[in-house]
Amino acid sequence: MSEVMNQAPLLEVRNLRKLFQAKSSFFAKEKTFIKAVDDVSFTLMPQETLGVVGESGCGKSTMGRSVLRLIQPTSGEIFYKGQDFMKASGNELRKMRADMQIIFQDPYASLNPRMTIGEVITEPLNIQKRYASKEEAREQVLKVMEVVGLNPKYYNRYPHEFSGGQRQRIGIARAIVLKPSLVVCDEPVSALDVSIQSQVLNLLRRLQSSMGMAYIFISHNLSVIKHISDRVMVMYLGHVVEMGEKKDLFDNPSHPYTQALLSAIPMPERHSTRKKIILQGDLPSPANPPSGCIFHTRCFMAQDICSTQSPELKDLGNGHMCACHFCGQCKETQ
Amino acid sequence: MAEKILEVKNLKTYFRTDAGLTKAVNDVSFSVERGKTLGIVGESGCGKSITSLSIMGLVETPPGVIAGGEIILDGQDLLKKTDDEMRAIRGKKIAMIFQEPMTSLNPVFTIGQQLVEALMLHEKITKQQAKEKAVEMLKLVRIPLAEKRFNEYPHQLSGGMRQRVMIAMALCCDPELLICDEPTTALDVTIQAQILELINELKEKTGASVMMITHDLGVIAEVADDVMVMYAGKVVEHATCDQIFDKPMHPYTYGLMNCIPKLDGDDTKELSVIEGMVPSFDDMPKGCAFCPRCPEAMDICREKMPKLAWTEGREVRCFKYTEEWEENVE
Repeated sequence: MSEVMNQAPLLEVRNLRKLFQAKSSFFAKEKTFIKAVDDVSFTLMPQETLGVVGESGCGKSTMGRSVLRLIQPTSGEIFYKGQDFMKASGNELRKMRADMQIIFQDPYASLNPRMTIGEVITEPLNIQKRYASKEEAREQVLKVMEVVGLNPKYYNRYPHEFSGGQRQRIGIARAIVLKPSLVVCDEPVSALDVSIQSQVLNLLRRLQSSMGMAYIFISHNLSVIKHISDRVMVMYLGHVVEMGEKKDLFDNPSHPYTQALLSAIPMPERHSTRKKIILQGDLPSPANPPSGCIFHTRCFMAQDICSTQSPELKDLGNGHMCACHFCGQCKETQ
Repeated sequence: MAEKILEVKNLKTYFRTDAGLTKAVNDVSFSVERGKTLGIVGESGCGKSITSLSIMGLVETPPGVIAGGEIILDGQDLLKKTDDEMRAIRGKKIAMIFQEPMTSLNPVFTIGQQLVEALMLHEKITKQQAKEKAVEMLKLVRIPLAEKRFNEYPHQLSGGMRQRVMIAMALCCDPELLICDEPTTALDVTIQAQILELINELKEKTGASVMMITHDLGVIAEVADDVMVMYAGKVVEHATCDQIFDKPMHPYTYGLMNCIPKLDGDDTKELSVIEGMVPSFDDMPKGCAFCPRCPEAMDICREKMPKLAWTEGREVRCFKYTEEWEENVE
């Protein structure tokens, strides 16, 4: 890890914010906004995997898409390989995007049913004009298909002929055909059966080490995140509540929400001695987030201060950040 | 031996499709003991949901057809019941919770109306009594402000709340058997923990038996007493929960246990995998359905379907443990 530290970051995101305007009545005096992503900052090193975890509605997917500007962020700065990505436009933007790709969650919805597999995977090459002749493009595509474990004879087949796991491999092939340095993986295995899930996770890891890509890996599944990430970011209602090296975060979860998340996963073992923290209530609506600390309505540690003052992200050492008034003390509850 | 509340014998549920006869549930037998929880695990297409729909009598015919077997609830064969008799049993003696809480509630009625409807159908009570009972049920599943929620529509509730309403509806007539078909798959982990705790607690309180259908071995470990593992329409292993987690015997069970990433696992290594994918019903391999993916497949596995044999206090379908095979498998 130390050699990575000395390199320049691949991606730097500062104070990223994305507001969506909520539907409001015609007569409403003020427009209401939903803060999907609020003040998120992080850096990503080349070849590193940043795991992003949180429950539905926490803004993790919006964050992933905003970083690629597939959703235009409301404010914030994004530097990619030192270049200002927010200011890029036209040809420059297209060129930079060739280097940043995305794998989507739903392998059924993310492939055009009217295109053959070959066409789907050739499309990025077309857009970026990366080949001299049709034969060359075909060759590149066949090579990528083999890398992701798709039989090259499927070149002329349509997506509906494939199972979920194979479709996800097609999505992965499409993302890596341009040899990007950054791939945002937005819940790539959540729609798959467990036995297929492990195949895809192994594939993603093998590709990372052979092609040297960095991943932003978004998932709601903490076990998957732990398996694949180098660093982990926990999000709640659009905010980062905890972030750190995987080992620090899993051995020493400091935010009450991270602790509750960790304890809530049903473990495939009998007679588990873990004490469960069961959070009360539901996720509050992001249109009307709680005052002070966004987590205080469900927190088992909440004090008076939590409902009035919003906690800052504090550094606990080694880049382990936690946004809680009582980060030190929560450990006692474990 | 505890009393058996449900006994399923040689259940065969087939579907007629363009590609031919699909044997979604192929000769499945099991029983559920009173007050116990049976977990059914398997991947999509293994027949676990069709098994539960067959018990409920909810398999659409055609294309589905129950080609054979018995489903005995309290000494009565459900397959011999008329539609009217089944209607009186469904919701009263057996209740079911579905995976998708959004689509299983009717969006144009308030949750109160839907609860009262279920109660009035099965119990001889007045509307006022039904209303009181409904509110009481909502409180039981810990819905805050139950009186207010009673008059709300499903879209006004969150996913976790809707699943609670489903549970309230399922339990309102004191069923003897509760079938939960992936009740927490669509929910977030923190909400899943709440719902599992609730199901466990209500099971204790009401003494109902539970059939828990899921693909998540973690959920099984938390709630089940017995586990049945299904693959391609057949039972491959049936044991107590402790036995399964201490020592999975069938290569598929073993593979399934090992391919999930674990929180305390070594994450520098690659995950172990089950190669290949579930065979489709119109292209079943000859012999054991799992043999193309099985790391321990022998010659005989490619020829014959092994019998579900009694081994070390449990049932396993694998030639590693038995030499018998099933005759007349076409």
